[in-house]
Amino acid sequence: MNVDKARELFSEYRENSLSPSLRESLARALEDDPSLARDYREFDGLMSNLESGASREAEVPFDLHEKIMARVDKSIFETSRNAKTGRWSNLRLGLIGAAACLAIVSTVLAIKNQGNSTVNTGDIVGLPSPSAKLQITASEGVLTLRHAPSDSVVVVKEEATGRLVDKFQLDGNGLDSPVTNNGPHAVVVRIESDQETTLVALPGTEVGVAGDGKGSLKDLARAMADLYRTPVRLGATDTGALISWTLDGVDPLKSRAKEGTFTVDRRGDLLFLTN
Amino acid sequence: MSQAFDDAVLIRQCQGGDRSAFDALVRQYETRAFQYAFRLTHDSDEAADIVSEAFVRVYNAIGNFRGQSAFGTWLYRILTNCYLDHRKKDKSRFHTSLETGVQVEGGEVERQIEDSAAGPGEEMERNAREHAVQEALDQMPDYQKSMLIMYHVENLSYEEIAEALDLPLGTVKSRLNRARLALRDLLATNVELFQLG
Repeated sequence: MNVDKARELFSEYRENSLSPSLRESLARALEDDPSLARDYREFDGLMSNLESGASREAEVPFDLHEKIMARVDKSIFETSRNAKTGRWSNLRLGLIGAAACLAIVSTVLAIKNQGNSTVNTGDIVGLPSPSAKLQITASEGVLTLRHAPSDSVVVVKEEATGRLVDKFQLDGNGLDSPVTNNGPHAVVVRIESDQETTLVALPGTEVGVAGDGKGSLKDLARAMADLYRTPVRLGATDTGALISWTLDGVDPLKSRAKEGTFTVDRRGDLLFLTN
Repeated sequence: MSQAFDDAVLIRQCQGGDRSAFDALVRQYETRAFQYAFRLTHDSDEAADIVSEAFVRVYNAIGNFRGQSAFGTWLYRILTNCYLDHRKKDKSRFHTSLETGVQVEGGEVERQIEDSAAGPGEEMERNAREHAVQEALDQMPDYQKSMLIMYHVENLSYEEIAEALDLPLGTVKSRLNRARLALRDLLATNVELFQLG
């Protein structure tokens, strides 16, 4: 038996848990090898010393019990407080949600009662100035109207049919409103506020195809909205002029005019199309 | 009545929300828990912290205790986990030596450890041995140290350690053997202190 193997068996030898043959073999090795025997004595002495420590006890702090129970009490209190805070947070969120729903329902009812008489139509203006009251943004393909408190009414209509899509009676309150199109294909909507009128193509649920196309600037806006899955704002004075185009399906800024002219720009997720 | 029976009754009462039963359970085990924590840390305050945290965990988990192991073994497991968490949180912690004085009102006094009487020479030799062992233990990985203390100082069996640390019995035996040999190697320069006869 070599020294390493013998050392591995020291614990079991000391505890008398080796098989008789191994025990005998190790005992013989210890007899034959004085260095190994010294190693074992040291090992045994060390273990005995370690075990003698059991009889020497540290002084227990006089207030240990109080300290433990105070810590338990604190934990119970904190758990209970967190649970209450959690419930209150949920309740508060619920109340805010309910208030928001109530506001929306009230607005819809007000619109229904009022009809379309307050809609003002006007010319389509170009790209908005930074001071524009109605901000039109897009994120992840969804158009959002950020109404300014100074606007009293904002109306969204389908450009092709004149159908009313949405109407916001603001009464001096700002509001962020998402506007989406649940139809299969892109539609152009006219957004009319007190300050300005804007045309935006909203993507439909079906993805468009890349390639060549021909039509008006509005048709191009719809094609781009469906293909690139993002609203396209029209900033043109003549949206009816006929043009033809090529869309690569990858980068809207690389869209090319084959006939006529147009320019594509991007602000955030919103594409701007002008001629 | 046996300890296990007493524990089982108290635990059932705790599970039913009886605060005084929990108080009694803490009283039953706090000294033993503190001794174990102190042997791991050599620091009275840290040991008290570990024990307090362990009993908080016991309180929070006692509803799930099914008595598959003895309560004492379960407590060792929780104490060991608390100790390991403490060490993980504060690796650079200053460890108070047993030789460090204790601050009390009116100055510093020597740390008192209960001891049976012994002659001055014998006492000095024993102190030297214990000091050497403690220093070596402090150099070992925390889990090895806790295993050695559980077995050799707390007198837990291999089976109880296996339950406490959720390890197979064979793994406990082999790890303990490695830990003992590692401890012996760490004390190689002080071996004359431990030679018997």
